[in-house]
Amino acid sequence: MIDGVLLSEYLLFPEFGGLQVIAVIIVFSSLLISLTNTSSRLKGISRKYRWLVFSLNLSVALALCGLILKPEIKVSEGKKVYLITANTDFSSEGLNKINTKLSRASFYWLEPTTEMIESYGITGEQVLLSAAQLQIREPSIGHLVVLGDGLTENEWQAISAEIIEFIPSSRVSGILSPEWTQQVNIGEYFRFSGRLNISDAKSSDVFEMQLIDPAGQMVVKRALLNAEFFEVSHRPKLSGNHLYRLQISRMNKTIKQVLISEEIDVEVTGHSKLNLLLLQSAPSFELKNLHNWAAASGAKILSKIQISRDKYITKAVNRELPVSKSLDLEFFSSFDLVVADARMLSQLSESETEALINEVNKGLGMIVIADNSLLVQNTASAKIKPHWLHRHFQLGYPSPKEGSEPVQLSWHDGNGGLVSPRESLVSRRAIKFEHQDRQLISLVYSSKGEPLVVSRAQGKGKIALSLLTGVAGWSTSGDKSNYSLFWQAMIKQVARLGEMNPIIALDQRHSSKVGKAQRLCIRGGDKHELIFLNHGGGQKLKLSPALSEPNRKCAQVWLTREGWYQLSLKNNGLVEAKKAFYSYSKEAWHAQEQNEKFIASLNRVKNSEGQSRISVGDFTPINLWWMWSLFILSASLLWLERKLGHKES
Amino acid sequence: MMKHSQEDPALAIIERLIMEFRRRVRYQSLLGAMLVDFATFASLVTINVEAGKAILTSLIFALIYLVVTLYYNHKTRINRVNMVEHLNRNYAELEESLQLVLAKPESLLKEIQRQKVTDKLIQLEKSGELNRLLPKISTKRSISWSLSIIALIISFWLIMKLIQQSSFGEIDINEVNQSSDALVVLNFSRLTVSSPDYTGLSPITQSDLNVKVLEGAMIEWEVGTTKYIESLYWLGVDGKPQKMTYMENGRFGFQHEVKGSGFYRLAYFENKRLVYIGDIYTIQAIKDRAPKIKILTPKTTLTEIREKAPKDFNLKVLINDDFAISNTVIEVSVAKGSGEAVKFRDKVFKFSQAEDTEKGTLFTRKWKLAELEMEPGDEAYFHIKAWDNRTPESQLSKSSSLILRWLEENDEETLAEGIQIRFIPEFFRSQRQIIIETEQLIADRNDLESIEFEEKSHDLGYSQKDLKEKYGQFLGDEFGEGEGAMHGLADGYHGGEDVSQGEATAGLAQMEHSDEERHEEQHEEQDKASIAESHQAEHMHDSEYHLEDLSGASDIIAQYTHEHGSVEVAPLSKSDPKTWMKKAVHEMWQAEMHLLLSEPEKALPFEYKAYDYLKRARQAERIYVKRLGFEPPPVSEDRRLSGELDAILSYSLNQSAVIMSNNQEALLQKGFSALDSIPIDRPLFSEQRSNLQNLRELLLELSENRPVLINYAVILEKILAANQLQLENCSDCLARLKQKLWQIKALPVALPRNRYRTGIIPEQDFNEFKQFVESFDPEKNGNKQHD
Repeated sequence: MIDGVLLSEYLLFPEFGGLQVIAVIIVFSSLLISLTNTSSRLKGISRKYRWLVFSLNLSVALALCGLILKPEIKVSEGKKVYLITANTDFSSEGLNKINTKLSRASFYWLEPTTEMIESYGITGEQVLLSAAQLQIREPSIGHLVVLGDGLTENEWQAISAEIIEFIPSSRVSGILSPEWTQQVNIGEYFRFSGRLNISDAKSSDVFEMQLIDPAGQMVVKRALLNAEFFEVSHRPKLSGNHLYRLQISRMNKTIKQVLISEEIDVEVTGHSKLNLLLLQSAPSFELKNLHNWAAASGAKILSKIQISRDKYITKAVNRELPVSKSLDLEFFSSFDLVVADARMLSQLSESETEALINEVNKGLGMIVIADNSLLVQNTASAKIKPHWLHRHFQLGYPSPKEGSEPVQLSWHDGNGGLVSPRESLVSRRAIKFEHQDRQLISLVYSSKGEPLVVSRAQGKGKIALSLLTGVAGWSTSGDKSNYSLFWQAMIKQVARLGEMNPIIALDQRHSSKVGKAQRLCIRGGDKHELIFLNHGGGQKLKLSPALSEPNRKCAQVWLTREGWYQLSLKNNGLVEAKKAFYSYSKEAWHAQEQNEKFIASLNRVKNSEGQSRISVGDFTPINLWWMWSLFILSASLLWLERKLGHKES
Repeated sequence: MMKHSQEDPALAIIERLIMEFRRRVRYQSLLGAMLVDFATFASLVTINVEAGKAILTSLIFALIYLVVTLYYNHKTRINRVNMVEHLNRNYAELEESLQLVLAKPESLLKEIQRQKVTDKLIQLEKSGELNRLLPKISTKRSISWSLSIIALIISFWLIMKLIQQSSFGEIDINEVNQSSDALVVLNFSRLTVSSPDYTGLSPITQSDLNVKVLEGAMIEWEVGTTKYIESLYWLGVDGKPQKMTYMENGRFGFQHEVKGSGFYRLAYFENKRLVYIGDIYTIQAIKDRAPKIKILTPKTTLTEIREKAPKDFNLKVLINDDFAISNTVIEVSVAKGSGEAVKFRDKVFKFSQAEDTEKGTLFTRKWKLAELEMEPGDEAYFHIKAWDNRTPESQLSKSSSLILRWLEENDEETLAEGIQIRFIPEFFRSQRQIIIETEQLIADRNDLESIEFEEKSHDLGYSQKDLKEKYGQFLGDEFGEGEGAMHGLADGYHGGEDVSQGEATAGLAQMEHSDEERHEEQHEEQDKASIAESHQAEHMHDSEYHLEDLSGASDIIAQYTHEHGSVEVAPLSKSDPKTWMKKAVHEMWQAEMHLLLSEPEKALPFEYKAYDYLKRARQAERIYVKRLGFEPPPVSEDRRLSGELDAILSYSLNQSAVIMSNNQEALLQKGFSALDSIPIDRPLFSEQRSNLQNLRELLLELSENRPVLINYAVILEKILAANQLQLENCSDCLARLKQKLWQIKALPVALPRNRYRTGIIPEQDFNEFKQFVESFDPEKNGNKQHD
C-alpha cells in the first residue's frame, strides 16, 4: 500500500505526500505572481483580454501541476467493497497501489490478527467474524474484490455482488487432497493419500516423506517429487484415539529441513459385535480355528457340528444357546454371517435352505467352504441332486495337476489395499470358477490371477465360495497376524451390514479446527441426549431437528481448543453410542484449506454476472498527453500574446 | 605562614617534615584499605557469595578501615608545636630550644639561641638525620586486619552452617503437634548400596532416592525430615507400610534387599491417615547375566578328520561373565557304531589352560583322538558348560554342540544340505530375536543412559556378526567372506529367545504388508517410489556414486535402471536358497556396521531385509511333492456316516471365551483404553482403576527384563494415587506412558466385523432421503398439502 493525497472524492495524487503538494502550490503561486506582472503590462487593456491572459496562465500552471503530480481520477461506479481474507500480501505487485486508508472504497477484514489490526489501523466496523456479516454491513455490493485465500463454498453462498473479482494469495506448501481412513477396526490398515505441493520446488528437488506413529517412531519412509501423488498405510497397534504425523522434508546435502508437518487423526475401534453361525458337516481344522479366533475376539458364535447321521454338537460362545433348534427364518435373522461347508448346505431341507436364502436376500452374509461334495456332482452318478452352488458360481474342474498345487494368495483388505503375505502357500480344492460373470467379485486370488474366493450379491446380502482348504495352517504355525487379516477381509466384505453409528460429525476431518463450528447430528428420538466431552469437562448439547433431514437432530459446537473431543449418546441414561473426533489447530492443513477456497472463489468469479476486471484500485491515472497538450497550447498562446502585445507597444 | 617559612629555613624544614609525615600516614591507611578490600572480597567469593555483593561488601569494609585509620590515627593530627616537641625530644643538640623558631624572639639572647638551633637543624637536615623520624610504611597492621576479616567471615559462615544442620533436632514436640498443617519434607537422604559379596564390589553411597542396583543388593536408607515426626514408613510395590528405624541422630533408617525392579514411597501417619512425603522413587534391578560362551576354535560346527590328517583336536573357548566364572566343564559324548548298533559313551573333561584377557577368559584344551577313545568312523559331540559365581544359586550357560567326526578311508564328504534343513529354523529365530531387541532398544533410547545404549547396540552388533559368520560358513564363505568349502552350522546366538511364538514381530509383519502394497498395480507412482527405495537398498553397497550423491538424483536414476554388475543382484531364482541367503548375509553386514556404530535405527531396515531374505530362502528350499500312493475316491453321501454308533449323543454346550482376557496383549489394550478416556481430570471409575492396576502389575513384571519400564510403572502409581489421569507435577507423563505402551504392544490380531457401506450416502441415510423426497410426490401422497 502507498500513502497519497486525496483531493475530493474523485482526485488522487498517489505519488506525493503533503509536502510535495505544497511545493507544487508554491510553484503555482509563482505563476500567479507572474500574472501580477503581466497585469501591470496589461493595464489599460480590456478586462476580457486580461481574463483571457489569466486563463492561459492558469492553464499552463495546471498543466505543469498535472505533469508533476500525475493525478488519478476515480473510475469505478457503484459501491466497491474489498474483502481481505487470510494471507493477503499487500507488498506483492498489483496490491501495492491499494490504499486502505484513503480510498473511499469499503474495506473489510475477515478475522484479522492483532498485528494486522495494529499495522493497518483497522477499526471495529471493518472487522468481520464471518463472511455472512459482509452482506449485513453492505446490503448491495456493486463490485466485490476478494483478496487473499478467498472464501469457502459455504461462505460464498452468503454473499452476492454484481461484479466479483478475486486476487489470490501465493500458494503455500502442503499436502493437497488429503484423504485417510478415519475409523478402522483393530488389526486393519489405515490409509492416507495425498498430493505433495511445495511452492518453491525445483524440478530436481527430492523430498522425503515420513509417517510417524503415535509413539514418535517413523514407520514409513519414502522419496517423493513435487506434485507427486502418494499413499501410505499402517496398522495401529491399539484401539483408541490416535494421532499419526506426516512429515515432508527437503533432502539437502548437509541438512534435512522439515517443510511440512501435519497430524492425522485415526479412531481405532476394538470390539467385535459379529454374530456368527458355523455349520459343519464334520469337525474340521479350518472352522475350528476360525471359531477360536472369532471367539477370542469377542464375537458371538453358535456352532453346529454333525458328528453322526442325526447327531450334532451345538456350541454357543459368548451368547446363549437358542431356544428353538429349527433352522428357520427367525433363527437365521439373529446372525450376521453363516460359514458352512458345502456338504452341510446340501443336507439342509428345502424349507431350511429356503429360509437361509431368504435371509441372505434380507442382508445375511454367507461364506461356503468348498469340499468334495461339490466334486461328487460331476461324477456320472446323478442320484444326488446337483448342488445349488453350481448354478450360482458356475463351477468347473481344472486338471488334477493344476487343481492340487498349493497357491500363493493375494486379497484386497476392503480399505483399498492389497495383502499378499510372503509365506502364504495354501492348499485348495480341485475346482475353479469357469465363466467370467460380472456379478462374481473375486475376493482372493492366486499369484497367477486365478480367483480362489468369489462372492456374489444375493438380494441385500452376499454369498462367497472359498476353494481354499489350508488357511488354518497359518494359525497353527503361529502366523496369527496374516490369518486374522485374511478372515477379517473375507468377513467384512460378506457379512451383514452393520449398524451405523447414530452420531454423525458432518464436517470433514481436516476441516475441524479451533475457532470453527462443528456440526453434530444424531439419528435418534426425543429421549436421546448428546453429551459433548472435552478435557475441561462435559456439556449436554441442545439438539434441534434438522430442517432438510428427517429423523435427524443436530447441534453446533465451537471448537475452542486443539485436541480430541468425545461424544456420548445417551438414551434414558444409558450410553448407546460413542464417537470421537479431533480438532486441529488453525494452521493445520492450510494448503488444502487454501486450495478449497481458491477453487470455490475462482468458480464464483467465473459464474458471476457482469464483467470481471482485474484492477487493483478505483482510481485510474489521467493520460499525461492531455497535460502536455494543454501546456503546449496554453504556452504557445501566451507566447503569441506576448509577441503581439510587445509589437503593439 | 608561607612568607614566614620562606624567610626562616627552620620553619621550612619543620613544615616539610609535617607534610611528609602526613603523607606517609595517609599512604599507610590507603594501603591497608586496599588489603582489607582484597581480603574481604576473596573470602566472600570463597563461600559462594555473589560477586556483586562481594565487591560491595569489600568496598564498605575498606571504607570503614580508611575512615577509622585516618580519623582516629593521632599521627594525622601532627602540627608545628608537637613536631617541634618531637624534634626536641629526639635531638639533644637542639637543647630543647627549637620552639624559639616558632615565635619572634623577644630578646637578644633568645635571638642568638634561635639562630643556634636553626643552624643545628639545618645541619641535621643536610645530614638526613631528620628522615629517621618519619614513620615507616608498614603492611603489618594491614595484613593483620585482613587476616582478621578473613577469619571473621569464614568463622561466621561455618557457624551458620552448623546452626542450620542441627536445627531440626531441637524443635519442641508440643509445638509441632499444635501446628500439623505445616508440610513435612525430606531434608536429608543417603542411600548405601551394598552389592552381593560374590560381586566383589565395594558399597557406594548416594543421595538420590532413585536407585539402579544389581539384583540381590542390599540398600540402606538414612533420611531426615524438616520437622519432627514420630515414625516414618517405607512402602514398596505392595503398598504395605514398613516402619523405619529411628536413629540416634534424629534420622530414620531402613534396609531392603532388592529382588526385582520396583518403586517405593515414604510416608507417616497423621490422624490415622497415611501422608506421603516426596515423590514415588524407583528401584531398577539389573540382573546378573549368565556367562557367555563363544567358541573360537574350531570355527565350524563339524570338524572332520581324515585318515591321513593329524589325530588331534583343539578347543579354544572365550567365556565372559559380569563378575566371575566359578566352574567350567567339557562334556563329550562319543558315538561308536552305526544304525541300531550305535553306542554312546559320555565323558567330562576340564580345560587345561585359562588365560584372562580383556574380552573374558580364554580356555583351551587339546586332545589326541586316542584320549577320547575314538576310532575311525566314530563321532564325538562336545559342549561346554560354564557356571558363574552368583550366590546362592549360580547360573549355568551351555554352548552349542560341536561335532568331531573321524572319517574312514571310504567315507565321502558329508553333504551340507541335510544339515542345512535341520538347522535353519533356529537361525530364523535368531535374526528375529535381533530385530525384536533392536526395536526395543530404539524404543528405550530416551530412557537409557548413552553409555548403556551404546553397550546394548554393540552387543546386538556382535550377535549380528556371529549370525552373519555362521551363515557365511554355511554358504562356504570363511567368516562370511569369500568362497570356501561347505561346512556345517553352529548356532552361537546367546540372547534370550522366545521360541514359542512363531508369528512375526510388529515391524516384520508391517514390512510384509508394505512390501506387498508396493506391487499393487493401482498405485503406479507408489510403486516407482518404493521400487526406487528397494533398489536403493540393494545397490547401496555396490555403488559408491550413490553413497556420495546426497541430492537424491541417484534415486531417480535407480528408479528407472537396474544394475547387473554384481552376482548378488543377478536375476534371482526362486528355488535357490543359497542366493537368498547370500543376500541376507549382505544385509547383515550393513546391519552389523550400524549397530556397532550405535545407530540401531539405521540398522533396522537392513535387519528386516535380512530376515525377509532368510524367509525366502526357507521357502525356496521347500519341495512340494504330489502325494503318491492310493487316492481313495470321494465318499458318496449314501455311505457317509452310515455306521451304527448308538453311543454317540447330540449335546449342546455353552462357553464363554476367556482366551483374550488375561494375556499380556489384552492387559495392554485395556490399560491403554483406560488412559485414553476424556476428560482427564475426572476421578477414575472402578473398572478404569482396575485396568490401570493390572497394567501396573504387568509393567512391573516386564521390568525384570527391561528395567526402563519401571519408570512407567511409577507414572501409573502416581495416576492411581491421584485418582485421575491428569498429574499436577508432570504434564507430559500421560502422553509418555501412552507412547511407551504403544511401543511395547505387538501388532494386533485383526477382529471380525460387520460390513459397512462405503458409498457416498449410507444406505440408512439414503432410505430416509428417499422417503423424504417421496413425501413431496403428489402421486404417491394423494395430493397432500405440505408446508
